[in-house]
Amino acid sequence: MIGPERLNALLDRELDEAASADVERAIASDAAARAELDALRRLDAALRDDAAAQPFDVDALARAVRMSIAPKPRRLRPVALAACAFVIGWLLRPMPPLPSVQLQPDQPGIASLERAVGDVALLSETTHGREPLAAGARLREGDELTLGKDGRCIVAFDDGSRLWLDGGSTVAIKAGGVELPSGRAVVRDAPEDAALEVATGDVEVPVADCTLAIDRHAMSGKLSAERFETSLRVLAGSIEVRGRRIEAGYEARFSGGELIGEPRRMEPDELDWWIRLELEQR
Amino acid sequence: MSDAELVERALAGSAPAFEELLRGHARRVRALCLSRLPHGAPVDDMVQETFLRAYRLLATLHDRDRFGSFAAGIAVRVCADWRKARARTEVPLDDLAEPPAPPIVDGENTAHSPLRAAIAALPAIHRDAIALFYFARLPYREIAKTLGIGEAAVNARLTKARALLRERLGGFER
Repeated sequence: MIGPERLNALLDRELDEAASADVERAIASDAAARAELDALRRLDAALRDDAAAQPFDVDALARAVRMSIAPKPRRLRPVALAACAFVIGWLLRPMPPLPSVQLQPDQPGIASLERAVGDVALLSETTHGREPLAAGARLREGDELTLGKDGRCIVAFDDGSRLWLDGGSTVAIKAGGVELPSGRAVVRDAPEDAALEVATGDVEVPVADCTLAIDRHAMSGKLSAERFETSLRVLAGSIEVRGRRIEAGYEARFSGGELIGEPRRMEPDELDWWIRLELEQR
Repeated sequence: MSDAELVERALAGSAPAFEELLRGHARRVRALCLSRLPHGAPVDDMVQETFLRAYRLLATLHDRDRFGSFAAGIAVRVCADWRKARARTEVPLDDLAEPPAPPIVDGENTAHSPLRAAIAALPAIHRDAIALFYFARLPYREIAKTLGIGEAAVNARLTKARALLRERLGGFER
């Protein structure tokens, strides 16, 4: 008795030589199996004829896709340009003083927590615990901040650079920079002669005299839970990273030290989370 | 050149590399669209949409050698989106002076041949196997990779699909 799967595999030429020979020998002495195989062959022929009767022009498809993905000169509408200019101007305006916070740069440390709302904590190396932080706290090299989902804060470095952190972020304070293993941040006000270096694990980027939004996150998809990428969105000025200059209005994405694709121009409606950050910090 | 190399080149901005990927996988994607869409649906438009989405999402493909199953997954979603959109735009019966178009149900197909009607009436997993084997002309190994199943499961699905077709159509036994 030959099972139907074996007969179908024989019909589909999916059996190896030895298995094919075995099945064919068995069929030779089994009239019912021969009849079954003949019926399958007739159905197979009908299905092949039907498939052949359905034309498919792969050249036309390739042409259509090629035309759709070819780079086109981008022309932003005047309203979109005005919105961009407004948002960038807003982001770049001088920040008003925050009277409720007394920064104390004369104390040890390299930065202060200028503003903190929600869950903002220091990860202690000695106790391995979380110590809630309030605005005004001094931060030293090696300190690691972690923000809960509802946490927001501004870290003001003594050289004038400022780092805005969004909920869910973790950041380690280093001399001359920060490490951002996960989360979202905006760096601004770094002086031209003292760049703040931000390292995410995907890329290291010196930020000076520009405004940069950084978003490091796991790539989507179940199979890639451990793969990360970093999005760098230049909001004002420009950055130079891995030999590429990226101008304001462009986004570049990196993963594992490599640039993913080419930098692309951002759409006005992408200016979302850092605007919220800006509004919440006011 | 392997799919992984083509994906890398396409990500670096090479349109010819993406076109080669498209040509290598177009029949597989079209087979799935034929399987997942009802008769009369704009199959070629959905195939095109699949490759445009694949191009936009290419950077999210981590296992560069699996472009085929990546595109196949997108094709299934594109077809599902089309069906949902079509269902949303169905005009209520009362608003129509003329008889409405037949509603879309899984496997529905107002095919013009008994064979196509019988294929359309198969469960989706069996239709996919038939389409990938006969239209895309893929061997079991490739069908298995496309559908994320084992080769034995491909064999089982084709066996079942043929049994159902013979049962519904008759006339293949003499």
